[in-house]
This record gives sequence, C-alpha cells and structure tokens, in this order.
Amino acid sequence: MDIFSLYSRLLVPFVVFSEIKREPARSFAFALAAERRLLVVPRLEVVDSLALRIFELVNTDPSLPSIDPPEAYALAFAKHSGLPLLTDNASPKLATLTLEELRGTQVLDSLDVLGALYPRETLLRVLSEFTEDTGVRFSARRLRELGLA
Amino acid sequence: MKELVERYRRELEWARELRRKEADWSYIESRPEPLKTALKLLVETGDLWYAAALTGVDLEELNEERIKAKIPIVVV
Repeated sequence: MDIFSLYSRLLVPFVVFSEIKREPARSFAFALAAERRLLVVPRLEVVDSLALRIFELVNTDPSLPSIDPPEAYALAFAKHSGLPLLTDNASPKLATLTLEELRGTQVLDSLDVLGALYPRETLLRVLSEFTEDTGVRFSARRLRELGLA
Repeated sequence: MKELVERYRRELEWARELRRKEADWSYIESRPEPLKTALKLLVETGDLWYAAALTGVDLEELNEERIKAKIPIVVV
C-alpha cells in the first residue's frame, strides 16, 4: 500500500520541490511527476502574501514552535486550496488549532497517513519499519490515540 | 486552548530530551564543520530546515547525516 491509495496525486509547492536535489529522491520525484501523480505548484502571489502573514503570526507568538518559510508557504497553499497539508512538523498543526485565520485547514502527519493506510493489526509492525527506515518516532500520546500504546 | 498549547509545549520538550538522549554524540563530534554545528542545532530545535539554512549545509545531506547520527524526528 502507498499514499496513492489515499490521494490520487500530491501537489508540491515549487519552493518545497526545489529542496529535492539529491538522488535517488530527485529521480523518484521526477518519475512521479512524469506519471502526473506529483504536480509541482508554481508560486502564486495570493499564496505568497498569506504565507508571509502565517510566517509573521506564528513566529511572533512565543507560545508556538517556529515555522520555516517553505512550511509557511505549504500551509498557506493548503489554506488557499482547501487541501490537506502533509508534514511531520508540529508547527503547522498547532498553528491551525490556535490561529483563527487558519481554522479548518487540515494538517496530517506520517502517523495520520499510515493509520489511514493500514489496519490496526499490522500498523504496529509498519510503524516499527517506518521508524527503522526514517528515524521518525511518534509520541506515546499519539500512539495511545490509535490504541497502540 | 491554553491547555492545548501547554500540552504541545510539554511534548516538544520531551521530544528535545529524546533527541539529546538518543543522538550518537561521538558521531556528531566526529563530523567536520559546519555539519557538526548543524547536527547540534537539529538536536536542540528539531527543525531540519532551520538547522540547514543557518549553517549552509544542504538539507538532504543533513537529513542523511541525521539518520547516521541517530537523531530522531519526533511526531507529537
């Protein structure tokens, strides 16, 4: 199973896509783009101004973890398009929960995606393999929410 | 809402402690500059982009080094 069981295509803002410079990630991204399963979104002025506002709102609020410019752009694009943002950074998720302007914007992380892809019986094994491959770990609270801890 | 932010703050602090504890410090200390500083920044902040941008290390190179240095990305 892969992420395309959940989404027919992934939209990647150009500012994020341009960070993919190395092999094999670059070839993989181009192969997906050739199959039109990955679309690179050009820079949009309307999203730029929203991204700047998000960047300022989040980074001037001492109670929120900081957000970096590509992530702010991706969050602004998610808000603008009504599509979910996939990221493992905590900042966008917390920003959507605390900033009125971002209410309703959906932010999903690896655990949300893997939890939607795999049944509970196999999820623990899948998460363990995912952690082994990527060094991504999940908090006990999040695992408890899925009935896994 | 204050409670929610406080919960996230506690979990992000726990994540920072986990990165400090699990990091392979002898590997980190063995790396040349600016990679060494980038890895230390990553342990403290958990922010890959920020650590890469501030030190001039390529983002993907830093992520590969992160895995070798056993610095987890923690999803809260």
